[in-house]
Amino acid sequence: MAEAPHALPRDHGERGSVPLGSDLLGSDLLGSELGRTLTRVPRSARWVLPVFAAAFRGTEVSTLEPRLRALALLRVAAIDRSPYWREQHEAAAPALGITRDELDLVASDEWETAPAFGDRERAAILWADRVARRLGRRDAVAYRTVREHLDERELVELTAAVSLACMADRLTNALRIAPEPPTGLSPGGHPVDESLARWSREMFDRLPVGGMP
Amino acid sequence: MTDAVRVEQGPPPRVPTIEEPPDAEIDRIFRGAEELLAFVSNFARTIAHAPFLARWAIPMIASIQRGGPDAALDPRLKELVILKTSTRNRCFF
Repeated sequence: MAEAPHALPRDHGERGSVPLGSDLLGSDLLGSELGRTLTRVPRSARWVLPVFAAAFRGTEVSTLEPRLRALALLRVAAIDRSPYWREQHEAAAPALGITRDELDLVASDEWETAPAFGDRERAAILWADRVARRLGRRDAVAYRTVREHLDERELVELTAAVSLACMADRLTNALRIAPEPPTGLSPGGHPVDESLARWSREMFDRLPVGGMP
Repeated sequence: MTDAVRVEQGPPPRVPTIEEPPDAEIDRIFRGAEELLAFVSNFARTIAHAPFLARWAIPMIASIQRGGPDAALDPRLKELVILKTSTRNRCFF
């Protein structure tokens, strides 16, 4: 049985006064349930939506492969039982060469031994699994394994992406945001490009924006 | 309280913090962090290894944790929520 949405009015919040870079993030995003919900707190949405875009889509300077990134994010969605993000990332999967069988594997505990995944992919899934389960601080084996395959920068980027995915899962689960067509916040051939990078530099130059303390 | 936090600090960091900004981009991020949060935290010095994410993540945290002219929650309630979440997650940062 479908869960009833929590009673939040569907207005857009006061976003008129806050630059959200909507043309750079994609207009579908701000029109989505997720976008409409987040823009109720525009001063946070201004940063949350782009950081989701950069972390989940990847950037042009990232050396993490989109397929690896997607598998890690799918593992997080499985652990957090997040129908919203499972659907978002599954929609991106075919373009990344992720098969239906692989989707089922990464959603179950069988990914650990599945030959479908390469060693680097399995290490990334393992790390995502441990971070999402809040075991990252202590799990020395998972850390050693991931460090055999990812350098320091990649580890920081993957850990940040996984942590932000956990945040996104909590947000959509707690507010019961219904699954919806792709919003563009998944890996899938569209890394965040230089125009968004340039905009973020300009935003940073203007800190603090709009009186944010 | 401060002593308890120190005792619980545990094992050393897995990724070295960036002490001196190696380039203009990270220097700008550190200056932004200082402006927003009054100092450059170890969190900022770590996530700056991925500068593109740091540029969004540091202001995001500031905007969520701090109040603002249009904030709906009062700062005391927000701080209580943050403390509760950190304790629940066994985060001593």
